[in-house]
Amino acid sequence: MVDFGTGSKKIALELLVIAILLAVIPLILMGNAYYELLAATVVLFSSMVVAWNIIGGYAGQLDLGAFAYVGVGGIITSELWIKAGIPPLLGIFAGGAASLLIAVIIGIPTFRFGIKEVWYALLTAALVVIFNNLSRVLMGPTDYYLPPKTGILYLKFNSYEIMYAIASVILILTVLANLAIERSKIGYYLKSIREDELAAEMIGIDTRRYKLYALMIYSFFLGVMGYIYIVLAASFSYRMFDSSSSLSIAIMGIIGGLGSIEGGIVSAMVLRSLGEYFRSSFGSTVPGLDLLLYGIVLVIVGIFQPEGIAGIINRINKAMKKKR
Amino acid sequence: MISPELLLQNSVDGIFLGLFYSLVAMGLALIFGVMDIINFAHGDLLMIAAYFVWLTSVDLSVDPTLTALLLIPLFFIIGIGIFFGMIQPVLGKEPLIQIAVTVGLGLILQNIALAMFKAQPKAVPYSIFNFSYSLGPLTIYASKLFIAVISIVTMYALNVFLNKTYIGLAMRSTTDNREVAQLMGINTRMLYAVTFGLGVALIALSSSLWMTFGQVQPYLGTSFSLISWVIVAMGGLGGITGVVYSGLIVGVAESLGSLFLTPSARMAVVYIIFFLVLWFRPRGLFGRR
Amino acid sequence: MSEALLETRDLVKHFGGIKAIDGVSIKVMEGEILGLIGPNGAGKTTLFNCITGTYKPDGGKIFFRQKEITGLPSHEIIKLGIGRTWQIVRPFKKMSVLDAIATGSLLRYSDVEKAKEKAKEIASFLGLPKDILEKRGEEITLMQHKLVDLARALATEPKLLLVDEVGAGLRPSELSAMIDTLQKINSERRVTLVVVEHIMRLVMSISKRVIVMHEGRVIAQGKPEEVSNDPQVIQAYLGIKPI
Repeated sequence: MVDFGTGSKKIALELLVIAILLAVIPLILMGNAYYELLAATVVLFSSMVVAWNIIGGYAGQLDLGAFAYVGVGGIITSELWIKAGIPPLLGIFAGGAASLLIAVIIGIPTFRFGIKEVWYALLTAALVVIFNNLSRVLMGPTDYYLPPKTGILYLKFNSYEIMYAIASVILILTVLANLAIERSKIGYYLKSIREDELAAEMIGIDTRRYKLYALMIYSFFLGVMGYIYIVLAASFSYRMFDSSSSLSIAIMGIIGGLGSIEGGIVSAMVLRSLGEYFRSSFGSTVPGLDLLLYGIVLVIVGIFQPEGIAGIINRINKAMKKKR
Repeated sequence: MISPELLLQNSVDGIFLGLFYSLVAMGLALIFGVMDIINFAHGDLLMIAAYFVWLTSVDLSVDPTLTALLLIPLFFIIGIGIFFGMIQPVLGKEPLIQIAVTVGLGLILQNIALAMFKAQPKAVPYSIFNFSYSLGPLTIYASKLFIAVISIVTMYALNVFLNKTYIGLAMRSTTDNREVAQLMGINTRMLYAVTFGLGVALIALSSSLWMTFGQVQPYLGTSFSLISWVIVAMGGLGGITGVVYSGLIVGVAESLGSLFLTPSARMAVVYIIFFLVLWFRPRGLFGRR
Repeated sequence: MSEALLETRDLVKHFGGIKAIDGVSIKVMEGEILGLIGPNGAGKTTLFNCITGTYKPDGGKIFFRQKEITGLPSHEIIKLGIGRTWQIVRPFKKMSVLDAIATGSLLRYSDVEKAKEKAKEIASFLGLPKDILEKRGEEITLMQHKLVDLARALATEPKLLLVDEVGAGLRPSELSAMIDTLQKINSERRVTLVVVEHIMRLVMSISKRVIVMHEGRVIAQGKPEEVSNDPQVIQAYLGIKPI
């Protein structure tokens, strides 16, 4: 991996690399609908992991409830279209706002200064299950479908190639948001909160407020992505509130390296693709192999290389610098 | 309308259930109190132990409770193994990583169970406690009573252990103030290992008791984990009494809830209790000063 | 008679059965360097923690610039103009020194570039060499840590700085440098200092006034020479009754 340096040059270069990668992949996969859908899903997952990085990597909170926010946002956006005719291009903002609201309700009590990190993790894990049960009661076990209309107004196309492009745009926007945070006051504050919360309070940082900011940005993004997830999945049900998927997002974020945008993207693309391969090849004989893989890699990373993929890249960078 | 007899029956069953839940949560509370670690894999360890109970019970054709004799020492050793293998290497690292490792462990256990046993629930087909007797309007189920008794006895023994033995006192003083405990010569590492082993052994005991009336499937851990967290959150670091009181509250709430709500809604009630505790009484949630 | 910059009235704080602070009333005058000494367990760090809001006092009040601050959250107290340094240094390990100090400046200057400028200025004021600025927190020496700690706190532009045992672990030459630095902070930046210290050489040479605490109470106040000869103070430190 190349050392991108710092500042605006870094941003431009990173975005260029990402854009090129994203543009190249369809050329390879063109024509095969299965792979195109897979690619779109993988890119969407990467966006979720990059968004997760805001709460997990920058703010240092172990959020295990990603799909609570994805689900709420996606379902609200879809229902607004189905029931009220509001086109998703507008509806996603309502979906994002709904997810944001839920997140803040969880965040306000748990981010009080001094409360151990663990309780946020537990509460978010529990949140997914609550919503799973609640929506099962409210929506029943049926699958719901989006109206057959397509077009940019509905952010819905039959061609998976176009959906891939939409997912790529979302990825780039999420990356931009991360970069903006990193270089701003909120980024510095979040980093110091993660380093040492007490010391951060002692230089005037309202730790609870800033963690909430991170949470709000993250949950809003996820709420928006929820709708695209539904389009790719072609239907939605209470099953959208899935604990394993929520854990997977956090795991990919950790394995990628807390605070690293590139690490998160690489980790998400590799692990999600691998997981998909396991599921399709061994799904019937050895169910859960993909999650088993995630769990094992997570434990190994946690014990031996907690800085994740980004840490490995850093080491390589340093070694290369020494050789010069 | 709900008859008073039904209410009474459910309350009594709730008390028995609550005592059992206290036992289940005890291992978690012990580990959390001494080592400051919330083991996310707590429920999943119970699930794995329950599979062991099922296998042993069926192979040897014994009542599930007898398997405890074998499994408690076995899981004590397993617990120590997990500690040295997974927990100890991350003790100095940032809390998010520590929690994440236990999350990974839980995921591994769940999916190994899923791969080996598939998703159908397994139950032990026989138990010597399949009788009950009447006490006026109440029916006392022998299995529930037995479990409650074992839970009380174990927690009493644990109480004695924590107050009267050197190791127990070492655990309590480490809970109170880790630095001072270390300064007083307590070998924290060995203590942690023993604590973790003990916590896991308690889980094994709970799973033997559970299998006298329950079933095991790979996702059994989720609800037990949640119940344990709620109990620890409510009980704070109030020692065994705190855990018992909280366990009773959860047990009775769930039991009475079953009169009005479906099983999944009941779980939601426990979650909501958790959430309310968090908003209004986060005593146990603040770390040590 | 000028008003006190900081005042505590009958401050009380206990932990379980122990009274860490048992009715402490002190005044810190603007512009002074006040020494705070006493044997271990006297309550000095607890007092700091109460002032900065880390602990909520169980009794009594604290006033800063005549406004009551008892019970306010820490970050608000810092914003009002109180800063502190740490007995055991608390570096931002993975951040660069410049970023760490700049994070402090961000309290007063929301623009990151401006905050970094201010940080550089503080760093050079304290004599931190330029090549340190790019090093990460985990890569510097103890003395540098202490200076960075000071810099980070100074970056929040406090009127009052609580300095907690900054001398511990320093070599004699470093100690002399630290004495000069603290005096510079007080005279050139007009920051009032309260210095908790065990190293007598440091605290006695820079303090105009010294307060002695023992077992949660103030047992003596006055000029350094007066206080060192006070029999109660001697007894507190040595544990024997003077003849």
